[in-house]
Amino acid sequence: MEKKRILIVDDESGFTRLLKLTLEKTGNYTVLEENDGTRACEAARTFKPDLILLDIVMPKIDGGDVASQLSADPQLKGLRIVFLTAIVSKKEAVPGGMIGGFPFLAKPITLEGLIKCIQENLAS
Amino acid sequence: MSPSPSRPHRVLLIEDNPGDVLLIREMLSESKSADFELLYPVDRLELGLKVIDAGQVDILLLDLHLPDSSGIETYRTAHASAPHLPIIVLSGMDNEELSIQTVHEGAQDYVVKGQFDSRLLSRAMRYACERQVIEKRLSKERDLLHTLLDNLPDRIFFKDRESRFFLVNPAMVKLFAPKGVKSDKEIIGKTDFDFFPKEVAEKTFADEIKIMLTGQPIDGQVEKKKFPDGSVGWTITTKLPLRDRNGYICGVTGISRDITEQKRAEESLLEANASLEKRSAELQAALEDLKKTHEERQSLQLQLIEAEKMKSIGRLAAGVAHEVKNPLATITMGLEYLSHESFSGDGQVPEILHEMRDAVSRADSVIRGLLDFSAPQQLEVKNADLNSIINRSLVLVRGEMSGDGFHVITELQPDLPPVKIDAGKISQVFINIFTNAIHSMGEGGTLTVRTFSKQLTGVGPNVDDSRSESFRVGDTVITIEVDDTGPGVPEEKLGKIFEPFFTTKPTGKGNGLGLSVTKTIIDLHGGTIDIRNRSEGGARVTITLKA
Repeated sequence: MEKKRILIVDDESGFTRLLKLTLEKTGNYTVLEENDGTRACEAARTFKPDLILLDIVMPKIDGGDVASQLSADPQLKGLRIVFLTAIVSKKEAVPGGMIGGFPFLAKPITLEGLIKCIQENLAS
Repeated sequence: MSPSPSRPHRVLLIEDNPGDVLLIREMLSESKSADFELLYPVDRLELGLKVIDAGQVDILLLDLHLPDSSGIETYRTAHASAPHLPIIVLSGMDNEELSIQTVHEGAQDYVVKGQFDSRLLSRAMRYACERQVIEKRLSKERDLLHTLLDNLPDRIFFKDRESRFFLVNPAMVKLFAPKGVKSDKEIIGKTDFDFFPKEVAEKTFADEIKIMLTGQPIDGQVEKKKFPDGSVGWTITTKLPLRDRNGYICGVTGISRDITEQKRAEESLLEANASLEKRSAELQAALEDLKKTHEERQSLQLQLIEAEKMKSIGRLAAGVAHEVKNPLATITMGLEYLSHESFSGDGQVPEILHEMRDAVSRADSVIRGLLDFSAPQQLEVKNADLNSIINRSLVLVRGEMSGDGFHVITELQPDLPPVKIDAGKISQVFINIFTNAIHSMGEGGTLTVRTFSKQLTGVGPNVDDSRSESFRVGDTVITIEVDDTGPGVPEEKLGKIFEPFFTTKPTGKGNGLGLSVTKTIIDLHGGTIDIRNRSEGGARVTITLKA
């Protein structure tokens, strides 16, 4: 089975590093980390991911703006985006929750939850 | 003037007939009485009056026919000159009638020349002196009585056995003046019926009859009555039985004072007092209102401060959540990675990883709870069936009951009226409460959930089952009771149980936000929540919602 390509855009380099290692260890994913939100579009055009895990609160640009740019880029049409966010309450953190029309995952995330979310979004 | 007891009475003889002078002198010396001393006789009235003026005379023997005065005029001149001096007229055989007239005009006695001896003269003089003393005393007493009667503003009267006035003072005359009375003579012989309205007179008459029958006085009787001038006023009257010298009751005497002004002053004072009391009560009420307003304002201020605090907590919570959750995410991911590694030879590693994952989960739970607590609350209310929500919530907390020691009893009123609630939030409330109850029971116990509806017959503290100002008498409310058989809540902690970050659970078992959130949700629904220890053990949570 062909490995799915996942782009992680998050300013937390420790988190992206461990996430990349963990996902890649499953043998099913190729992962690129990008810690600067402003370079997300460029990384996406180069890497051509199947799905982007996008942090919302970042220092230079927030995830919402990045999502808008990605959606507006014709080269990236059909690209799946899943938000990753630390600021959600218990109520919001229900499975299948949406922020701004995009699915999201609340940090901290378990590997099981993450893979389930990736699979569901790639299948849809 | 009266002589002192040791001194004889000095007698002045005014007589122009030397023979009579001699005779009387002899008579007085014959009597050998030490009581009388004859002064040097004078033969003219004018000379006699000078001696009297000198104040040396106690009794006067007066001949009416003198060279400088004659007849009744002699007596009148002497009497006018010394009204209190006892005078014995020396009368001739031919003018006894004249002598009798002098006695009518105040002379003590008369003796007819040629018809008296020394004994008779001495007795006449002694009696004259004694009568004079008595008259003086009587006169003094009469003067005192009249001073009282004429000058006291009180009305004084004396009545006979038929309640007819026989003596009244000027104040009585004044009282009856509106009836045309000008002097006491117009009152004497009349009764109260002649001056007062019939009902007033009858009452007075009855009182006086009673006094005369029983001999008992009426002391300080205060009455409201209609006066002869038609005005209505108040009097205070004291009446006593009047007795004759033998002690028999022969009438009544009384003294009455008009106390209308005093009564009016008293009434004014009472009115002023009542008005003052009313004013004081109004002031008190105003003060209470002010206090209440102040308390309300204070409460509002506290609410505003609380709201501002919550906003700050919200901002803080969001910041903390971001800063804490990112490291937690990194740790979690690290744990995920490590959990797929093999650590051959060290059997402790899986357990250590589990503990670390558990710790991260707890930290995450606190942060999420904080976000829930500080998030602005809005309700999405719909008619819902509380019993169904309770049953679903019970299913969700089944996992918290470890072991077979737990029993759940539901006593849910089947026809419970639907209630407008945010089902999601109310579900959160039940899950919180059930979870707390289960945790408090440790290894096992009985969880009882009861619902019932009722119409409130009273509201306020300790009345019926409502402790909220949200409800009114007649409201239909739904009550949910959740009983556990745990140890209950320590009494000293009951008051703080709804405060944020307060928990009775051991460290790591509760974040202290569950009941705060629960109370906030119930408050948003306009309901009440109360936690008390049950007398039979365990705690009871009572939630009341308006149907």
